[in-house]
Amino acid sequence: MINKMIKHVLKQIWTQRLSNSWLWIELFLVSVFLWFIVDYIYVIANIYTTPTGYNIEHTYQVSLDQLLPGSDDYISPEKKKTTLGEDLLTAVNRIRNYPGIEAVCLSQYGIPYSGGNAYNNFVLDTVDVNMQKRLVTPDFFRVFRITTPEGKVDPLVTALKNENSCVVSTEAEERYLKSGRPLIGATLNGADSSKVKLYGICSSIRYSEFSRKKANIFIKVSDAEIAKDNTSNLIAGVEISFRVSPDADHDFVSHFKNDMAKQLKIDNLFLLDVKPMSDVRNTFFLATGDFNELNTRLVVVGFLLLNIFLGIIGTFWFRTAYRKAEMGLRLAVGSTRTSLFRILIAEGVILLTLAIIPAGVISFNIGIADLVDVNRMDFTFVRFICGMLITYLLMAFMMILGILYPARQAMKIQPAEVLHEQ
Amino acid sequence: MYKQYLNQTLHLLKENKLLSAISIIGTALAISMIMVIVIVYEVKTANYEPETHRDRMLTVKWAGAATKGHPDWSSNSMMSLKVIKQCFYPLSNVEAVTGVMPFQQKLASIPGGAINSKCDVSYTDAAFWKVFGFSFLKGAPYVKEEFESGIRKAVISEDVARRLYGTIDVVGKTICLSYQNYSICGVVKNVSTLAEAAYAQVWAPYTTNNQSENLQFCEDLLGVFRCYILAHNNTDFDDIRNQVNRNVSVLNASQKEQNLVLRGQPDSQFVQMTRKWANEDAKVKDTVIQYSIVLTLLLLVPAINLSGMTHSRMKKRMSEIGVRKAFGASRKELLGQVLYENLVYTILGGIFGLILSYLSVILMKAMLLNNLMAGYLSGASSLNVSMLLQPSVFLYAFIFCLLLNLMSAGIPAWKASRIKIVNALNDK
Repeated sequence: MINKMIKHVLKQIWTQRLSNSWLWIELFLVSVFLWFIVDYIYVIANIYTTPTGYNIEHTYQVSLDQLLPGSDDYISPEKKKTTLGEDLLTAVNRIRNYPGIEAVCLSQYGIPYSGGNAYNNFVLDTVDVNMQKRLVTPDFFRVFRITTPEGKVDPLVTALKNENSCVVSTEAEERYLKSGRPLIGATLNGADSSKVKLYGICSSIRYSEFSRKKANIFIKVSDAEIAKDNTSNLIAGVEISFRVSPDADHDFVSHFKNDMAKQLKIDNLFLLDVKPMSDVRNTFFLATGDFNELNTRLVVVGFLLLNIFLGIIGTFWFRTAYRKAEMGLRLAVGSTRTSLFRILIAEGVILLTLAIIPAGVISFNIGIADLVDVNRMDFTFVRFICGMLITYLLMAFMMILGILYPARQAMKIQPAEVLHEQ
Repeated sequence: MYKQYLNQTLHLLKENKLLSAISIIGTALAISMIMVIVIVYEVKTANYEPETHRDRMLTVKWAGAATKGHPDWSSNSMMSLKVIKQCFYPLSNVEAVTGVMPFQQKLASIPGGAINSKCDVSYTDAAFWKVFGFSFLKGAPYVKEEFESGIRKAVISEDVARRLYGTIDVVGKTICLSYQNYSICGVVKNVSTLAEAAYAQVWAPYTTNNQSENLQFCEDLLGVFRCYILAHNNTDFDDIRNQVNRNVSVLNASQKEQNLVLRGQPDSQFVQMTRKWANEDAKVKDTVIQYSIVLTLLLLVPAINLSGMTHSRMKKRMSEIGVRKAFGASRKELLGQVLYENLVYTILGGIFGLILSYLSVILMKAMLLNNLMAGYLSGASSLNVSMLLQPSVFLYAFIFCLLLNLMSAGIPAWKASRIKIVNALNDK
């Protein structure tokens, strides 16, 4: 029965091939373009929903700045008794004692969504791994809730209490295990001729929601090192972050600023700004344009789908008007109105199928030529089929929506009237 | 003749409201998408206050310091003051060169006042006011002598003036920037963050900020400066680039470990738009390809769509065309008629489309006109009439309408004009 209908519809499409060709070309082209974008969205949706490895809820970022010569309170280097590093540590201690704060840490190129980054190679035996390097104090793991693969924070904090220690992520662990050496306690040799001892493994950390997993290394910065530092770049490069207990996290920024502005005026240091990490995240994504790109592509998807809808409604409107006589005849010889409706829908869907098969061949070739995003996810057959299927369903949906109105008009035909016209 | 066609078309338009609506919506959709791209492009590259000379301005946003012997080991950031002084200030055959230490976040307050609000301060030289055309509401900019002697004067935006003093009559009063006092010498209109080069909320001489000299790294090549060069004419660009390259070679010859790399800068306004991160080259080719693909897509899909509909419309009017042919209408005339009729639809769609595109740009400003620094700045990315209503926008809109019309009605019109009279009369 269905076989017969398909055959019949195919014949119909063939006899109308001239007016169908426009539609076919459009469906074909749109399938390729649409698949290309759907594939991108599929990749993003997949990668966005995997864990990033950190938690920024209830976390904040503090910016300090230094007074410049010429300001009334400025203390000149000759008169200053403490180093800039010592002042910074004083600031950290004062922040730690503020009510509601769970943990404070310092870092360089460490925090998530930081615009800057540093990469370096570290060798164990012969295994050389390129890692994103984050210089942190031990409480960094508490602030951003970075955990061991088992989900525990404390072992990592303890690991970084050791002198000259580091923690690497599981991606690096997998690679280093190939050296066949016990990892904990092993010494990693940096390409910059630094040496660090490995004391812990943390779960995967991603650069942002839009990035793939990559090996990371957290290297300890000790208070003693910071205290020694007196270069004026220190303040520009350091990140001060803290975590607040959920109960205390109400209107926190303004309370903190009011209470702490005076306390954080330490020699030449002063409090410039405090902002939630969610703001830092927004700023980061404004700069990378990741969300912008996603939104722009969603708009193009909307544009393509609307065009299909308009194309279908236009073509089928003419078609039903043009074929009134045929429809009338069908009704007169016993077709039901629903079967007429079914035939029209079938015509659309079969035409779409005829267009999407060659489009699929082209799309697949675009995919294996690496013209799609392969940085975030490998191009696999599953990815291709999922993308194609979503494309097909989206287009079919728009088609049916477009046929609905002309088809309803066609169903209202009074056989007697139409036949009479003839 | 054309009046008659117009009447006929309007009549047809009314006769079949659904299909006319579909044609017009289809056109409007395509034109609006295209025009959004055009408007965004214009906002990023056209001249408007205070970036009044973008067409003859060159930009150096980023710089790199590469290790000698290992060109791929590089650090990348902005330039140091030393580079500005050695490579850019000595340029000849230019109208003005300015070194800018852009958008430093400072706390602004009135002396002894409690209000401490964040604001973006750019530290500049006096030539800055020549490169950019600010309109001063009150006062005047600081001059060369004041700049050179490091006098603490500042130009502030209308917004900052109102926030601190509640009025713009503030020339001669004091503004305290992160606990450092400056005397206000001028008030300018607010600058939108979209004018990336000129934007700030407060401008002050960089000689009053010792960070301009302190923040230098990588053998003093990198720092916190950007450079803008105003040429007499954009035909001088190549000469200026050559001069810069010569100066850079001289500088690099005196460097011990690291070389300055500018990656093809100074950039024209379009090229700098395609240059994003500090460690990358400008992506002119990629950008052009991307624009071309998107524009083709936006024109082609609706054109096919509309072609199908024009084709069907012609089919319905076959007998009419037959009659016209029988009475001696030439192919050319018929072709012209179909194209003209269709143009009425296209223009109607185009007008709707252009309105729609302006609405989209205004409503989706944040997404469409995003730039790298957007999240860091406290100012607003406001749009104004002079940015949006560029005459070129209307010209582009009309050109794209013609193009779309030709693409969507060309083939059906050609076919209609070639049909045999007998067939047409028989409606075959």
